Amino acid sequence: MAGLFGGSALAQARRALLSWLPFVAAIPLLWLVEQFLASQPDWEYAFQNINHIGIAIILAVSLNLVNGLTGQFSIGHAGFMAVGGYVSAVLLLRGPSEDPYRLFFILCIAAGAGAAALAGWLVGKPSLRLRGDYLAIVTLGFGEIIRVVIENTRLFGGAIGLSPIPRYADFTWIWTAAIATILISKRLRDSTHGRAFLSVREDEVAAEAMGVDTTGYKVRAFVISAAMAGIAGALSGAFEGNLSPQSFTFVRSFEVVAMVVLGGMGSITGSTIAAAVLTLLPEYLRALANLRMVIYSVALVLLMLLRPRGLLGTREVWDLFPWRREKKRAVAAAKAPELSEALIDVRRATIRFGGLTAVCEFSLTVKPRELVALIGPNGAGKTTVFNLLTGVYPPTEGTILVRGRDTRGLAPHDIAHLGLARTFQNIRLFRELTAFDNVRLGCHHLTRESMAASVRKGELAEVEESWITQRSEELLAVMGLFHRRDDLAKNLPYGEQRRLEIARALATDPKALLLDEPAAGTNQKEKAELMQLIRGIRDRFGVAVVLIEHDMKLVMGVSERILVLDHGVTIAQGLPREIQTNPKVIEAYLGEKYARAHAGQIAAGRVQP
Amino acid sequence: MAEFFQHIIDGISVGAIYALIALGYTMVYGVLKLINFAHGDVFMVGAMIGWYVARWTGESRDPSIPGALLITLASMAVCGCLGFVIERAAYRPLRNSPRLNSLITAIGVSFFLEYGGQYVFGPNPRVFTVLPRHPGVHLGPVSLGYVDIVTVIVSVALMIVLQRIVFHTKMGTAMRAVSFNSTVASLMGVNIDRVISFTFVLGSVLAAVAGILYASKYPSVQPLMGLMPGLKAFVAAVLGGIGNVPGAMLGGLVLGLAEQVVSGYLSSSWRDAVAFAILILVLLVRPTGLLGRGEAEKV
Amino acid sequence: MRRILPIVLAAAAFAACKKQDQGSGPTSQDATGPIVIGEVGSMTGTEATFGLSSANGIQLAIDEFNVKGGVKGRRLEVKVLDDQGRPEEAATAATRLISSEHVVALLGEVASTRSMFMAPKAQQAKVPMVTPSSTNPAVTEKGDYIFRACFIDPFQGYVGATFAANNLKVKKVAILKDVRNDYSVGLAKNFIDAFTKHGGQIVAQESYSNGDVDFKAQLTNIKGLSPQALYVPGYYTDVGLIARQAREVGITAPLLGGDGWDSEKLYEIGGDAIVGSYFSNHYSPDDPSPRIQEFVTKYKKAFGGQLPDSLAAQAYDAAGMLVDAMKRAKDLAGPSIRDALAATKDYAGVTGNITLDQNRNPLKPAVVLKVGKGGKYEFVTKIYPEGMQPESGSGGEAASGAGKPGTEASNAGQSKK
Repeated sequence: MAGLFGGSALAQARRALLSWLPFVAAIPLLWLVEQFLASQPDWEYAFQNINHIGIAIILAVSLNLVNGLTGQFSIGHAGFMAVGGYVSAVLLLRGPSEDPYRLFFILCIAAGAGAAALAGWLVGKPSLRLRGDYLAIVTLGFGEIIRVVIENTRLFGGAIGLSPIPRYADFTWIWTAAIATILISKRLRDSTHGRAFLSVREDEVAAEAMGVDTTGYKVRAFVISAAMAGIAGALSGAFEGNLSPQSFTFVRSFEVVAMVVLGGMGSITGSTIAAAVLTLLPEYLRALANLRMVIYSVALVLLMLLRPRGLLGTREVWDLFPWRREKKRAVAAAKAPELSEALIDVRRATIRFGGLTAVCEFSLTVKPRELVALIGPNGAGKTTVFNLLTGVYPPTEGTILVRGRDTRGLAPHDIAHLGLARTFQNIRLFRELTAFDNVRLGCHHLTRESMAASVRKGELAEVEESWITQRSEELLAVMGLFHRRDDLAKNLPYGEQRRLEIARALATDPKALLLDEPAAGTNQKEKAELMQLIRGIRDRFGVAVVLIEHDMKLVMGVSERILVLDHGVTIAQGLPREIQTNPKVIEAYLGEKYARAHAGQIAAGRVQP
Repeated sequence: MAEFFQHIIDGISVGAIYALIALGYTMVYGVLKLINFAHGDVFMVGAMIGWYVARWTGESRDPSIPGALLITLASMAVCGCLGFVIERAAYRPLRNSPRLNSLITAIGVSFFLEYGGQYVFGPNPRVFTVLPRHPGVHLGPVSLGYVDIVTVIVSVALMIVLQRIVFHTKMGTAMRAVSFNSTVASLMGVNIDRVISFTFVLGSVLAAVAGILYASKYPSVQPLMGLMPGLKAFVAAVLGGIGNVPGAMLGGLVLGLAEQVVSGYLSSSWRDAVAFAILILVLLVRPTGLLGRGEAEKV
Repeated sequence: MRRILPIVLAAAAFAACKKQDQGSGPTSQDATGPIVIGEVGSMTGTEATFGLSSANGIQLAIDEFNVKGGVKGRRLEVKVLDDQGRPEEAATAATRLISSEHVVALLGEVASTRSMFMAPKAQQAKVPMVTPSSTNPAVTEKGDYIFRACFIDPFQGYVGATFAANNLKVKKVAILKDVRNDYSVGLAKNFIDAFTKHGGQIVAQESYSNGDVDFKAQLTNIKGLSPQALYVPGYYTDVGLIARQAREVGITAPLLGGDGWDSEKLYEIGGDAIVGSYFSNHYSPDDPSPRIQEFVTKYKKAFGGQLPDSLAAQAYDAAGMLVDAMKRAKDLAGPSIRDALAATKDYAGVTGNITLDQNRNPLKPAVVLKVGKGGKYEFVTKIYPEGMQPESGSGGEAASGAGKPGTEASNAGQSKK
């Protein structure tokens, strides 16, 4: 690995150090600021506020990871804060009374973070595979249960809380943690993992189809954010000197949610600013103290009605200062060896929904580089076949093999990983992301960098990011979309959206591309271009293409082989011209009466479906 | 042994109230696919209005059955309007927005009612007297409060009425159609807005009655009283299968019983935890609930 | 512009942070302006009544002192901050009062948890703090600048136990405590200790969380064990409901409680079910002693006919005690006021004569009241700390518990904890 990426262990260490340098240099700076502030006698109150803001920033930015970036709704953040705070405090109280280098303190914080992460895992793993609303209730319940447990456990001091906790945390500690939280979030967000999180938020089904393990990412976001909340709790306890379960109520969780929503869900800058504002505002508005929660709730409702994007939407302050670091070194993605056996081998797959058999005994083989079309009247089951292939539903009977592997039991993202990519009938782009990001997301499942590598901007991460960029730009260019690189997907004209979806699917480096009605809604000229495009894709990228289409001219012009479905059953299969004259096909499309009435003409090849 | 039966009786009594509230949750979720967080607070408003009207009419000093009826009707009217207004103002504009936004709004409305209520009504608990105070019935060692009997009778009656509405009237059929597929229902000529408003009003009316019954049983009303019962009723709805009307009734009963049994035999501090434990269990093992059906998303 | 906005907001937020501390109040260095005393209380939230009652009591006391000429020729002023019932807010409020408003002393809080959050701030800044109603012993242990005007939990638990053993003459008691409330938990524990020392037996221990409304399960269990009395040291909001449900379940034994019962709402909520039950308190507005009646009259006049509850009375005494110390102190610096406070002896408060022991807790008697017909409280008896003599003319009785003086000395306020 070291040799391949051009550097010894020393060089790697140097890289890591450089990337963390700005952060490490900040610590002594913070310490200096703290000394100055502490020496001013009347600044005690302001100082306390500043530290409260620091804690709030950790909470808001970490929650933003889940609620904003990944689009899951968690309202139990105070619970994780409590877990981290209490575990850390209990250890501190039992630790050595002298801790001059604060080594034990660091251990306690780490323990708190670990406990909170574990709690996050326990809560998240079961609930994140369910729909969004359920997660909200589960996290709410979790917060309450934690509080009940704390109040009833003597170890945690019960209702009166824990005190006195050694007051080790101060400005430097808190703001170091806050800055670290922001930095980690930023680096995650800017990495391929960040795009994966965003894709989960935008469209889970599409993300899965592009190879993103959506549940895995949701859980990861949840656990990381819980760990950070745990750190906030540990620092808070060591700053105030005491902990009380009444500090970790649902109201607290709600306040953090308000910060994330106000700042703009997904914006780290927004969460930071909102955290500061919403920590200071109550101090200012003491006169309106009884109305505080009322104002918050009204503000939240109005925000949702009028400006759901919050203050900053998904914008970040560093977007104001874009810089592009072009890395000269680029490594192309490895190419898999050519295969001669069937890419897709479906053997008598059947699927039933309740009493309805949508697809019956469907069989299909697709060899590499083949161009196959799947046609049939509406409701014939064509998209259902695609869904079976990509693992959205398991077949009730029969077997589906992709590159020799039985896909039963595999999740869509696993199948994408095997080399099957698709587009959707109703275009499922990541609408709020740019065209560039959409395509880059397609590359995600090919990467191997860990999240830690992304955060410390390790060698692998840099290199992978670089080839992702190159590959994505190339694909955009091939699709004629390079000029749309930085436009939001939702703003693209219809035809370009379809092409973007194809580009994204190609980015996953598939062996077979499933296109679901790519010509829907396009005009004659565009259809002709599409024909060329599809052939061009097959030639350039070496993929097999399976096409669902209604436009016969396109189908006839592009396919090498056609399958015809009607009511879930394959009624014909063969070369284009065979299909054209097949009486069963004509009957399926135009009806029995017509077929009988025009039997002669059909035989003469003058009627086409 | 006598204790066991007492716990059962108490469980059924509180479970019936949970069921009434759960019905509102489940119906709204059915048509809108939205968890109306504010529902528990509509329940609170029902109890509060009951308190105010009782004071105003003098019922609280001299409770009687006709008086109680009047108060309940007044409360139902107010809550029905409240439900209608909430849907119109806060949920309808967001019907085509991402689900997350509606969820946040629902929480916002809930908090608004709770803390607004604290501001308007004051945070102090008030004593609630609407039903006349009759002695209960004693069946051997087990005692049945008068309020408990009324609660069960009223709840059962209302649930029967609801069943008739949902399964035997045009509006009820429209509600069910919308809960299956709102797009197709509207194409079939169903006025979606009207159906949704009706659902909200119906649910809120039930919540109002639940509020009066609950406050009669635990005669202390304050603006935050809806929080816990609301959450528990939601759990009951999920337990029974969210979107399923008989499921909500079943879920309410089961939850009420479970709570009492745990409080009685384990420890009452864990009473609230029971609801959440059940929730997590259901979501882990059978997310569609006891009577619910699964839902496939069209890809 | 839209891009600049967030940066501007961020900068404004940080600037505002600094601005906040330019407090509006005058500093105590200003030798002719009013003397500012800080008060922290829960004016909003679920415990708003506690904060409001205390604020009234303090206001009354301060107004009286101002009429009499203030302290050292200067007027007294109280700056009140609301902590919304949240402990971390209490700490923030305390800091703000100390460092921005430059108060000479702090009054507050009612709840022990919040006092515990405030105390380190006061101690660190060497600003004397007097809590009017926090009964947890740990509060004054936070430092020698922290004082208290009320008796502590161990004593109240002892009072309940002594009353049950000696006056009610019962041997079997069941406990129903509020596990979410450190006050309730503390009282229950001390009751159990004292009652078992008296030779009694605790037949059952159940708990609930404040805000619960259904106690049937616990009460049904208790009923099965046939106690002769129930000790329910919670707040009146829950106790009222508990009493009702206890009667519904068939428990006829009387209930016993602590000063958390003290409110006119107790009878409103509990009704006939609570009649015949007893609770310990700091004072009784029906006490015929002229000092108390004068206070009641003045309070009613100042606050629209409301009867002062014991929180108001304790706050009144706390403020009075503080100002009295300020008068005796050689100047208004923190250490001087502290020393004067520590030397408080026989301060004539409405909740009794206050003398502070070496832990800065007062040695005071408690009264036991009975809830009579129609909710009228009837004075039953006064119980004194071990070894303390009754004041003349107050109709009380000395504690006459069995047990060795050595161990029970802990109840007399000489706690070593």
